[in-house]
Amino acid sequence: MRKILFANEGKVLTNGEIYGKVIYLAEDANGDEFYEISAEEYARLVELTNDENSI
Amino acid sequence: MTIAEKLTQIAENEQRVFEAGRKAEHNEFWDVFQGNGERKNYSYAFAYSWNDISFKPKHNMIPTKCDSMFNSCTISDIAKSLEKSGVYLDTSQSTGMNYMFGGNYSLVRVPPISVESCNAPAGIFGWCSVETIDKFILRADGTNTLTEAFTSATKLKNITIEGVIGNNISFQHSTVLSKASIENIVAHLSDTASGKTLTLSKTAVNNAFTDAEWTALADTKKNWTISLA
Repeated sequence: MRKILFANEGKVLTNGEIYGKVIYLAEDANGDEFYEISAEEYARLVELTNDENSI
Repeated sequence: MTIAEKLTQIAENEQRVFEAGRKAEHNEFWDVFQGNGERKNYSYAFAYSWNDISFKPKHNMIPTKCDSMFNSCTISDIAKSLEKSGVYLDTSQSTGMNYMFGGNYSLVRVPPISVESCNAPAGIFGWCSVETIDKFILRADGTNTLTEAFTSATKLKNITIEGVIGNNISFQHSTVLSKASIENIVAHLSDTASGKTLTLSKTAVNNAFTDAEWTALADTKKNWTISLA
């Protein structure tokens, strides 16, 4: 049975590489590595990524 | 022939000669620019100031390098422009394709693009406004690395994948991705990959599927972690 992780309101789940509000874990994954960050922090990370890589 | 008729014919001939001269200049420019069809390195070839008016290649293009080929230009429909010119772009031999369309915020549609010879086409469709990718042809063995391939591809609506997605891939910024495209992407996820993640826009998925439809689709690839961002 596939485990689904849901971020709380205003939060985003991450394992440091993958980000998402809902994570459908692969059948062989246990999800222990995921933790929540705030939506604001996620937005800052996205903006930082875009700035670093903007063409 | 009367003098008036002769004068009319002279005027028409003059126009024909002028058009022939323009065509000869056009041909000469493109023969040189494309090495009479032998040019292989198209990196930055149509970057920056190229647009729909100037982009009229004469020869088919089969590049081995096309990094930033259309970087920050304003060519909007590359597929249509190629069709009008009666030529094609075949990227199946390209080993370098980084940021091929990056910075082109006029871009609407691209023709079939193959990354079969390119291990890691970083940012290939990232940071551009493409809406339709006629075909994105991946390796059958799923070994392409697709880092940032669609980062900031916020207008992407239609994509048809061929081949196998065998490594992490993210469409998190593609909030208007169509239902058919999402279904197509999921269908081309490797059946044997392990520890890999597909990231989709939660907005796109919510707009396209009912909960039951989405769950059923996600369950076709239980070997993949699927993140809705």
